[in-house]
Amino acid sequence: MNFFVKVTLFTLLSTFSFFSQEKFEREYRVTEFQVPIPSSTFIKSLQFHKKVKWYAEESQDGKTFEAKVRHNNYKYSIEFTEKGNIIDIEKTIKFNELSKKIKEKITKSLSIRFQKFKIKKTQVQFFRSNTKEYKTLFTNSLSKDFYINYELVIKAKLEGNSNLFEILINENGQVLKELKFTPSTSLNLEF
Amino acid sequence: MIKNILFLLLFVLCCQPKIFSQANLEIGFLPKVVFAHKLNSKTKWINSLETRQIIYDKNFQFTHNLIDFSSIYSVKTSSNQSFNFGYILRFRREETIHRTFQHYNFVNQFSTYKLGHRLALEQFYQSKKQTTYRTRYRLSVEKPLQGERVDVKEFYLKLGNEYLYDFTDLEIRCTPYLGYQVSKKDKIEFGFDYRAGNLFQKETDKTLWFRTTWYISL
Repeated sequence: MNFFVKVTLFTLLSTFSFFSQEKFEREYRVTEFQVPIPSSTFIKSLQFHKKVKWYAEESQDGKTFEAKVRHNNYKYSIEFTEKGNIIDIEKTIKFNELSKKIKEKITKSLSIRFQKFKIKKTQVQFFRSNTKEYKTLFTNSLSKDFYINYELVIKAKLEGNSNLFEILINENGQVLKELKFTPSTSLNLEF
Repeated sequence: MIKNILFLLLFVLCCQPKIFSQANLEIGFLPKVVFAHKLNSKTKWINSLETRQIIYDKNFQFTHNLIDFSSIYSVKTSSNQSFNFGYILRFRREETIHRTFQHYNFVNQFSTYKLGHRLALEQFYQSKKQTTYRTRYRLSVEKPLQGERVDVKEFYLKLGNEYLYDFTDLEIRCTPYLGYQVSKKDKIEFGFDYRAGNLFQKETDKTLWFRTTWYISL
């Protein structure tokens, strides 16, 4: 038994040092008091009825903050820079809620690229330079001057293999970004 | 809402008085190490080593109970489903038990937690004994403790509830674990594995294991 303990400890220690050399990316919960003042002021001004959850995300590219809230039965994610300026606002919706015109454009684009696909998640990204106009997203007087992109998570078949993709697509149906990703391993839920 | 219901369900199941009565209680350690090697985009080869040490069985002691070697061939049938075919070699005192099994796994990723289902069929082979069979169903929930996903150097909570039926009796397992994502390639879990067996009998068997599992992706 002592032998097993020694082997386990040796392997454990050597693996810790080996695996510490890797890409840094981390997302974690923060409190309202840990976020930049302009971002918390903006969120407070919207007076959401539901609880706002704050997250920080750190990577080699820098640090951002994100406020997540449910409003009128939609999930919103408001992303801020480290200084508290709004980067974008994302609204999670059902694909069928999009206008017929945009649905057709997206479907056409995806059909050209993939043999077969299934849309798993749809988010509408709103961009604007003016903070006041961002507020109209949460009122009945939505500004028509937003730049809009659509971020989709799809399960698609490409060259015979089925994978998950994150697709960023604009209002004209043009694919701006395509990222193949694998869900994080679930080894501990399977074995 | 679904999240709250699931946690409540697990909590209620864990609080069944029959499961937690103290007769025939056995306590021990259950360390396990799991090595996963990706063969290609759809298949994995998983090997594990598990031992058991008893520290309480009617009185305090420290005895080695068994050692398990397992080898599993896993085939991914979609991004969240897989079939596993495996073999376990168990040495328990003077006994050698061979076990083959088939698993079907289904893992759902929600915005703040993962839900895993495992259905299993097992066959036990032992010399001079009849082959026996067992079915299992396990539900596991993994919830990050910081943020919406488990990143490197972050903790998570894993709760499991498993039902094992060998066509004569039922065993229920409740497994609350605290996990730590050491790196992108390995994670460690610490926690309890409470098992209540022979639930159709008057005298049920209970074991409480302090479990440590180290998952390593090679």
